[in-house]
Amino acid sequence: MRNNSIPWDGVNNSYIPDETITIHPNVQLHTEVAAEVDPVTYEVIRYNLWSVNEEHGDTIVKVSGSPIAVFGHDFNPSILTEDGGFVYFGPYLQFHAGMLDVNVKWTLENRSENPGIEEGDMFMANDPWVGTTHQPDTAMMYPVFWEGKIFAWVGSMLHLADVGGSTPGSFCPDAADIYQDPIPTPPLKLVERGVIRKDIEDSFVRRSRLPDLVRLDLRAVIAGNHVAGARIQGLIRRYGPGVVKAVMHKVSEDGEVRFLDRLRTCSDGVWTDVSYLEVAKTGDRETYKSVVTMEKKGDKLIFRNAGTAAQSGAINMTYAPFRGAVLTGLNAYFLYDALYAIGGAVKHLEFELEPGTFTCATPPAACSLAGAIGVHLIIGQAQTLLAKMMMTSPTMAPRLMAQGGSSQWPGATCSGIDQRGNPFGGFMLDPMGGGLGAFASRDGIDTGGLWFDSKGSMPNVEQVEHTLPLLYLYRKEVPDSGGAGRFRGGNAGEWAFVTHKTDQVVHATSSCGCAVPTAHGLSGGDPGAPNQYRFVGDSDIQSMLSGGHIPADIADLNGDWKTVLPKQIDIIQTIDDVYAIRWAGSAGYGDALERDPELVSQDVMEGRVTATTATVIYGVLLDDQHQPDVEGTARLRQTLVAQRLAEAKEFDFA
Amino acid sequence: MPYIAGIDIGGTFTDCVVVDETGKIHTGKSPTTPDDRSEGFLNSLASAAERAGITLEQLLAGTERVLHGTTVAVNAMVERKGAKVGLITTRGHGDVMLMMRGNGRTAGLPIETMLNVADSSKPVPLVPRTLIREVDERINYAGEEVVALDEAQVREAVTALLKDDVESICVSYLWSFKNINHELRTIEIIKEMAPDLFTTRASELIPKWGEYERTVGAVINSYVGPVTRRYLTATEKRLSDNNYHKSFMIMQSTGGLAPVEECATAPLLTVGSGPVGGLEGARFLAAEMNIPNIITADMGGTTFDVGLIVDGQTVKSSSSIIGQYQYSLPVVDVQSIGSGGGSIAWFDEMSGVMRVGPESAGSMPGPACYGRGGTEATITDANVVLGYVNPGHFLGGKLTLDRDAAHRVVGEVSERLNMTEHQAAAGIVTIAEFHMADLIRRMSVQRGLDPRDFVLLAYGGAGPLHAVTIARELGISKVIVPLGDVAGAWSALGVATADVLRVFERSQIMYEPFNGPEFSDGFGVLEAQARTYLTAQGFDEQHTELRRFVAMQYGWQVHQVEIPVRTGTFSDADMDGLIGDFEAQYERMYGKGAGFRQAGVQIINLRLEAVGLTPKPVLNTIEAGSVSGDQAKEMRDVYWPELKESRPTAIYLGTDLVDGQQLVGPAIVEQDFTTVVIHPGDSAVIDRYGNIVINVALEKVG
Repeated sequence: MRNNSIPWDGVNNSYIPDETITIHPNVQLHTEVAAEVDPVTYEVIRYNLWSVNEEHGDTIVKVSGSPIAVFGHDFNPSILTEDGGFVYFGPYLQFHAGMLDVNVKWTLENRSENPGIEEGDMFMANDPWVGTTHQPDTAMMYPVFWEGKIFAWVGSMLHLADVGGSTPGSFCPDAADIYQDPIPTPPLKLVERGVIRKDIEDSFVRRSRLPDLVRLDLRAVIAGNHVAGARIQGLIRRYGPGVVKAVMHKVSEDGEVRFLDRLRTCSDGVWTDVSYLEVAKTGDRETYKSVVTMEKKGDKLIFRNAGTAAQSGAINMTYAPFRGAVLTGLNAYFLYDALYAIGGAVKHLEFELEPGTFTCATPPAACSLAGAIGVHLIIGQAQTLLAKMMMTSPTMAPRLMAQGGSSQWPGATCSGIDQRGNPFGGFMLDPMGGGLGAFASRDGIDTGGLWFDSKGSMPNVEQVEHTLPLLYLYRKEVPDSGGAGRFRGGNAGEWAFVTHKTDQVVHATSSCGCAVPTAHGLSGGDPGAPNQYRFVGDSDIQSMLSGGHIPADIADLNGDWKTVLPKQIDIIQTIDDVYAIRWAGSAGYGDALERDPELVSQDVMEGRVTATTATVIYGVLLDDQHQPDVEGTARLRQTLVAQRLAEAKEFDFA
Repeated sequence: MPYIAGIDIGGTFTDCVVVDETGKIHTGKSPTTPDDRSEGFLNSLASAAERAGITLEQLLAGTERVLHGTTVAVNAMVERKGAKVGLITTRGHGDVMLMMRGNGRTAGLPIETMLNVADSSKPVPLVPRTLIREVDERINYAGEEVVALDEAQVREAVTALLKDDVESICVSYLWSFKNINHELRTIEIIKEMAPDLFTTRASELIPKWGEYERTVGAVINSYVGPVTRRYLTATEKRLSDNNYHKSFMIMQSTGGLAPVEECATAPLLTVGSGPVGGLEGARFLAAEMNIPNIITADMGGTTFDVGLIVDGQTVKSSSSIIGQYQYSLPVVDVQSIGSGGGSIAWFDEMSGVMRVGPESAGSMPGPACYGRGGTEATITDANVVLGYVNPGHFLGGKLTLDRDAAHRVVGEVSERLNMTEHQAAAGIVTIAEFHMADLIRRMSVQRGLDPRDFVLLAYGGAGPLHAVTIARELGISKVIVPLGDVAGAWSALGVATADVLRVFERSQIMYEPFNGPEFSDGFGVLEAQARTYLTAQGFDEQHTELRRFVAMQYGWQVHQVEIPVRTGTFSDADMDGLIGDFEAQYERMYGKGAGFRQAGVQIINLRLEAVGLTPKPVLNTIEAGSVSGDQAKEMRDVYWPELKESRPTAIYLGTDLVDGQQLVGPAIVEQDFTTVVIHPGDSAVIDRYGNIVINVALEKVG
């Protein structure tokens, strides 16, 4: 499973638990399992366990104040077995899948003796090397006791709005290392026998620019854990611990059966995907290569990152989010009818990651951008690799999907004094609009959201304008932003705004995928359009507005055009400046010249594709009514194919 | 008291309940006529008249109020047969309905569907992009005008939309609920240019924060508007052709009646009103029987619907979803799962276990025992195999069920599971009952309510079959199956007993320290509107009620908790009490210590329910019998899952039951439209209204 010459201990390196973990005898695990459970009882308890998890999530959403939790649904509740094996994982942001099991295992290994794990305790953690995407994503783990022994764990990951670091919102594009980043916290006993330790809470929130919001969100996850823990104890009282545990095991085994059954329809092979990210930190102008190789060998899937650039600047991630990104794809493709019960399937995965690369970084690499950069990168690369493998299976091929919108999240944080005179810090969530990539037999979905966050949504413009001193000029879908193809990728969107009722707003960016598209097409499909930040200073916007006109696009304005780089801080916006941000579009599938001209015509009529793109990219000639000229189209496409052949060079495999 | 008539249109039947001056209830039933539903409407009245022994003319001549629940609007939405709608909106925000906040792909879907990415899609747009027009205008968060309305652009937009043959136009601008002027002026211009066109002004329909959900509500209103208006006009005409010219009111999803003109301009109010009639019936009965808290369980062929009544009032939800479109209208909260008589039991190959639903055989082909070609085991088939359902007494004997078919399909399931047929049937029923119990538990617990404080009221064709097990699972000690055969037209009774209701709302965002007079004034504005409205509807002060609610949150939060507010004015000091009420409710819902007082408390929204109290029917009581002994019509072997064996069981006919009669479980009561199952160890008594009141033996659990 792991290369034991490297200390995968969560301190000097990412933590990768061994198959058996070492727990101090002070802590006892409740391991009784009933030999058999009748199918009706199984179904009843299975459904109940899922609903415990849903209730856990509902509680977090309702209690939490953070817009990131409420709209981005940037959290996920889980149920785990006594030793940290996954049972259920919620329908929220999926890449957290890779986090909680490792946090629980690390806690069992490293906290069972000192300070000990008692009934009523809860542990919190946000250490990338133990297991978090980035420091804002905080684990809260709750051991559920029965008869004095740990029977199960419930817990969640939740993105806290600010946990310190150089930049408001804790995405720190200028951090050179972890010491300039938000402070990582290895598992820490925040709740002791049911009571929040005030000293620990105070010392944790002291680092935050939004301490009250963080306290509220800590209460949200604690409340969620209490709800879920009590419900599991109720199930044990009703059915007995052995029966409940047997159901927990069978949930994972069912997932495993489905996973293997589907995996076995795919051919063995090795697939490699290469992607490039730009700008490691503020001021840098380089690109960085990410290589992900997936080998399918019988019932095993092995993931490697050899060939990936060395860790650098602020774009790094650790093992846990890499794994979480892979699990995200496996859940959606292989366990769509098993409520994403990944616990059994993980046994067939291996990760051979090279420490010191930017996708498996070692301390003291800065990691706070991994939530916007690294994890999205690997989700996309894993998605492409899985899709290529699925092409070898007649039953799996129809389910494959090209990469989706927001393939690199165009991070945009802002801060200042709001319209009521209070300080504010915000993380803009418009890219939740996302978009789905093309499928093998139909188009992707325009602004269809993030496929790995089923419940997430964009806030209303009115919600944003109520909270932040901004006035939106528009929020719109962008035609042609979805990659062309026989089936088109879903279009993305763009939003633009001016400051309103404040002197100035200070912005920072944290993204990649601006210089190089990150949503790669499949089978000849085009990539989705990249992220884009546009900024015009000293513009004529105010005179335009007072003259009764709202620009349809930032390009309609006159002023001083400024370059916004993907990792820039201290971008000052005053009342005459307009800022527009576009999120990346999704990728296409198949050759655009093979797209049904009727579909191109409909796209043009409904404003999803421009007439120019119809001709230049799709090779479709349309008349005044946007109806396709069949013969002209055939001729044009022949010409375009001939041009391609004339330009073609032999591929240099070296 | 003169007649009150309630008419409720369902998918198959149009039901009518007529209550006469003695309180006697006459029910009528007539097939729904999808081509012109006003025909079935009149037929059902005629059918009730016949049952009452009078003519339709006599009935209508003596009727004071005709009250009606219609599904015309919701059908237009579900079948996507609504109007061609044009949308006029703020420049830069025309894509609001197309982007659907990025979650249109999954909104409102059950979790299994939501997680299945490869099969997901957004709904077909209600308004295609070609019929969306943006105009220059802008209001800010404070309601101030930032950009003036460009009236020339409005005219251009209207001209273009009319040229495209739209049947209705919806106007929805950003922040219009804070400043209605631009929307008002736009509507005026449309009225000048096309006086008869159906229009919707978003801020009038939904004066609330959140442009997506407000616009969706307004667009749906425009979409179902023309067809609803046509239907209501046709129905009104049928009534006036029959010399009826008195009150004609329509049931709304907000939980009360509204005059027909109001629903013709705001048909959105009727979308989702279907299950609300039943809940209003429950509320009426609860008041009559002096029961404060009721959970309603309405199970039909495809769904299991749950509603809550707390302290005599139906529980509302602040928004609703239809066809993946979410809109913010406060509606009576009725939640559903796909668990009905037709829900299919299936064997999950990969896990080797049995699952039930959400796929349904519906009514065509329906369960295998319907003999219409159904080949899969459903909950109804399982009920036949267990012996709960009598194949010879289904729908009062109108449909004879095929017992062999039920055994055949359940037998197939049992073979795969290595069980007996009875065990498999018991398994199907048990799994479904647990799903239903779970829905109720989530609905109540999420609101900080304990199901044990409730009585379960079961109706619908299949509700009384499963209610007792569900109740036991939830710790509910009493189940009521209401009013004998009136249960078969329960929604129509509900419509006949509902009050007139209009909701007035106002987004009023306030920060601590709260200004008491400003808070009072907010309600003052709403109450002035409400009084004008109720007076116009002919209600004097004694027959009105104004109920205040406020939605509050802790600072930083995005979700609100709504609490009731007392009448009268508030001083600044009084506002502390309000904060206390909010915190208490918050702790009930999320647990002690979940609140965070230091973040401050905010007021977000004021809601006022203006209620016109209508005269209620006086329920007739059934005859008291000198009861005891055995009046069972027969004994039948029934398999009881909890005993894991069959027992000879007493079968009663609903119409034979008399006031005070005691039934001891195991027992089954067969009514025309449902079957009541009383388990071993439970007992029941018939009360003077004809309700079957079942006492659930809770100690059987665990």
